[in-house]
Amino acid sequence: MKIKNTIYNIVAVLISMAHFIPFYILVTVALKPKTDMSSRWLFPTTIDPDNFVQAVERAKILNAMRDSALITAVSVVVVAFLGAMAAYPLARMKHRFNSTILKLVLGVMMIPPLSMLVPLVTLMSRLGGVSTYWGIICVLVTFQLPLSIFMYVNFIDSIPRELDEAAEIDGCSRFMIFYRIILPLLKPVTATVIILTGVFIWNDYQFSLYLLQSNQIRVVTLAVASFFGQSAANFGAAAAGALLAVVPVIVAYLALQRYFVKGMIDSAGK
Amino acid sequence: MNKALLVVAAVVVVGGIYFMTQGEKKKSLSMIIAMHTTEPQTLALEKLAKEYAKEVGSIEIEIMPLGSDTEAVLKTKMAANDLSDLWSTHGWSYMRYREYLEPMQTQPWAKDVNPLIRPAIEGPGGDFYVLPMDMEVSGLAYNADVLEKAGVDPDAIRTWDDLDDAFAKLKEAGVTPMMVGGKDIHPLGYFFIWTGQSFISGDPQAQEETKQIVAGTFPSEKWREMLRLLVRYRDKGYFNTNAVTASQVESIQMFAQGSCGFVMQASNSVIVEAMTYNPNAKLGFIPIPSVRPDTEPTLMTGERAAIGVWKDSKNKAEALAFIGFLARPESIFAVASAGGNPAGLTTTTSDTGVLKPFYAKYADIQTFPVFDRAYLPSGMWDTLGTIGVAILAGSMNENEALERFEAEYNRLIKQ
Amino acid sequence: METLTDFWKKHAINLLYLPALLLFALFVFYPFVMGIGISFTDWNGFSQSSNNVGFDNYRQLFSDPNVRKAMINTLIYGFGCTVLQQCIGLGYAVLLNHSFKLRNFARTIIYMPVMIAGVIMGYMVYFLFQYNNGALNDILALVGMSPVDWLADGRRAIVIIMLINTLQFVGISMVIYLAGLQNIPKSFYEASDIDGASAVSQFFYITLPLLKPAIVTSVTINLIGGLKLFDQIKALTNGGPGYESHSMSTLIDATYFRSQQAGYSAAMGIVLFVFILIVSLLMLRFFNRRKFEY
Repeated sequence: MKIKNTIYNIVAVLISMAHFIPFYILVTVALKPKTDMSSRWLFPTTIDPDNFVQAVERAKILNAMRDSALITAVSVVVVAFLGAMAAYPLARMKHRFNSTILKLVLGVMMIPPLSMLVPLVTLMSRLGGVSTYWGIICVLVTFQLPLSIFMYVNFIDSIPRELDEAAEIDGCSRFMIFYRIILPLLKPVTATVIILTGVFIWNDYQFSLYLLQSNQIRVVTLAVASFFGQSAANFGAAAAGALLAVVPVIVAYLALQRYFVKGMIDSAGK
Repeated sequence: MNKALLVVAAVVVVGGIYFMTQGEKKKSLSMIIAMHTTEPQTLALEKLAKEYAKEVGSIEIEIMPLGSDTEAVLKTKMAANDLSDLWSTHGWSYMRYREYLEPMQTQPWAKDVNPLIRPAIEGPGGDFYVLPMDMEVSGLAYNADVLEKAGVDPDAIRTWDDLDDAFAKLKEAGVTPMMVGGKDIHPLGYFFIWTGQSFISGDPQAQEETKQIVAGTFPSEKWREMLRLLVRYRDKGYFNTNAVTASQVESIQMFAQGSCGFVMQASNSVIVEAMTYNPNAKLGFIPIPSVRPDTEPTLMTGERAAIGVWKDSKNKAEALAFIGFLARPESIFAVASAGGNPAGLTTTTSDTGVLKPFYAKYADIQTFPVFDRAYLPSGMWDTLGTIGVAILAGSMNENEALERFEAEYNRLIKQ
Repeated sequence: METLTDFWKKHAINLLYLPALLLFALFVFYPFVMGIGISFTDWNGFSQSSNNVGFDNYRQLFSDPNVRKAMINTLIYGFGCTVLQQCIGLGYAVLLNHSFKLRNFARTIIYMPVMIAGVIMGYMVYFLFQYNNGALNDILALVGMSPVDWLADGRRAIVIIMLINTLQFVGISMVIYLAGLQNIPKSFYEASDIDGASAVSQFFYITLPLLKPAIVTSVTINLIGGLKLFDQIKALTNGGPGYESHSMSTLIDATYFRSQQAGYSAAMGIVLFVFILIVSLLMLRFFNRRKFEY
């Protein structure tokens, strides 16, 4: 058993190293001044905080993190809630009409955003939603909803129908069943939904770029990208900004990870 | 437990909405610029914006440096007919943006616009749509140390054949003669606008073709010569091995490090950027070689920090007032000097820094407006790059390329 | 005869998906239909004027060799990425489902690339494969080998793009499979242990069939993601050399914003959508037909 664990640990370290490479390069790039063109594997001989200073002062990455956090928190809650709501009838009442709706939802996931970007921006500017919180949240929620619905439907599918039926016999309405029986069971998949959609929303670039056109609301990806020009670029500062911006995401991930591995830890303790 | 979660969710949403509605809304002018956030010109413009805000009191200027995304964002915003109050036109004030821009020829500073930049921004009727704060007068950038080591005298390069000889010497000395960042498509465009100017617009004997190209006839024969030159340089191995996979940034880094003699980019911006990687590099530029020994080399002039006003802006009066502020000699001086470029208005002379001796040396050389902006239809810039890359990659031969060029030209000229 | 109240009682629950549908209608279907409209014009993407050209764009599309190449590449990206991510993601999940010391550490590290914004990640992975000063070539130089222009060959570039995409996003599959593995009751394994089943047969007869919902989720997400692959291509090759590594998404982008053929680009978008739709529906049918026995 002990040998087995040692092997597991070694393999895990090797795999982790491979996946750590891009992050490692991000760190070395962030720590080097622009004039240091040494190998990307090497750490600089002296630590130069200038890139981080620029990320904070020029790109206002901390403000951007606040705006991103706000947008992500609200969007994720709405995505999870609307997703769970929509998934229940779609998973439980699979008559023709609802399967068509479900396919439609999948269809939304497949639409290449670029093929409708310009009409979407035009629509938003007519609705007065450009550079507003509600505008960007509506769009981000809309485009993450299919994934959320899809995951909830798959999960509810795996919950035995007997639960619903028993409650129905007890005289519960369907709404009550959803609220009392199903919703509490969705916790683990909700953690997954939040992790997945949350990361996508936090890192959204395309929609934010076109829909947030003011320094009042500026998300982290826009702040990081503000260091890229046509032929000129400041990779060090951009990397520094990206490093700062990833900290809250890692914290959130670690916090949520406990949730969805909880079941496993319980059974492992036996 | 379930209720607690719902409460938390509700708090997040309500609290979020509360925070979002906070924050004051000040009257502000928005200005998109095609630079990134730590470029010297961005800093100079921001400083001016702050000064102006202090001077006027009631207004704030929001500068958004969108860098590499500027073109896509502006196109989308034009489509939605919802533009920022001001934006920098990065070479396209007339061809692409004039449908949306306020004419500027009636502005008080209009008479002071540098005659060198006029052909690049003016329409046939003398109408123009931007305040050119500076202008990019450029040629081919070289690394002086590298050339010296290989025994190449940059001042002796007058024709494309001279350049060929210089390239051969560089290759012999073991350095890449010319670095191309072909992954980003655009660098190859420079080859065609250089040669286009040299073979067509800048050649006194090709003035007939120049007129025709504007009128809608593609100059196939001249173009074939240009293509042949590219193929010749390619076949002689004058470009870097990774010419089609290198990024522009990589090419500039190599240039700064002294791994190549020349670099395929507009000379000023490349030199200014390369100095940020290696402040000790000795960099300079030569004019664009001429097509024959009996014609003179020329220089290319284009927009750099040129700023226009949205004609349907709700804040048009304020935006024009800000343009008036930017047109003051001290503002022009600050922005042009920050970019190492000559001033766009004649009311001041900028401090062009390391490039000063070159502007002095080339003061008498004839300049022409950037070839594609002045003579080719809008949208052709991409075609130049794409086909150029295809030739370097060997996936298109001379005839196919010529055919594609002609087809694209005919398609775009009709738009 | 069904009365109105009965109908209401039976179907009122469907109101729960109404908010989602409203959002889709406003922010997806409406713009999408506008996009279809654009696909019948020669619009340049920014002017206020354009001409109707009927089906010209669609006709051109089917004879455009670059579109054909991009279409084939899109399929390669879609299925290649899906297969890679399922195999590796499931492998990781099975490994990290065991309890050992570094389990949580490895999970976090593997998921970390997902958390970094694609907008910066693209540059970092490009730094890996860059010819001059690239991280991989630095290693080659260390062992005395001459540098390789990794992305110069179209086919190799496609493989590299798929590998990088997997390196970055396999964490998603891993998370889904981990969640799925936890839903498998331990008692199933215990029972089969008593029957003397080997670990391999346990994997194929218990784990895989019971993972079906997770597999469906993961395959669907990866397949759609793979068919829409954009960021990695743009960062690593920008579709090059030439048109060798373009997917439909990057080609649509280049056609829209660079060559100013918004109408043509919109037509490509519609065709891509129909194409992905067909592929995904076929896949769903495939999954629905194959009932796993357990």
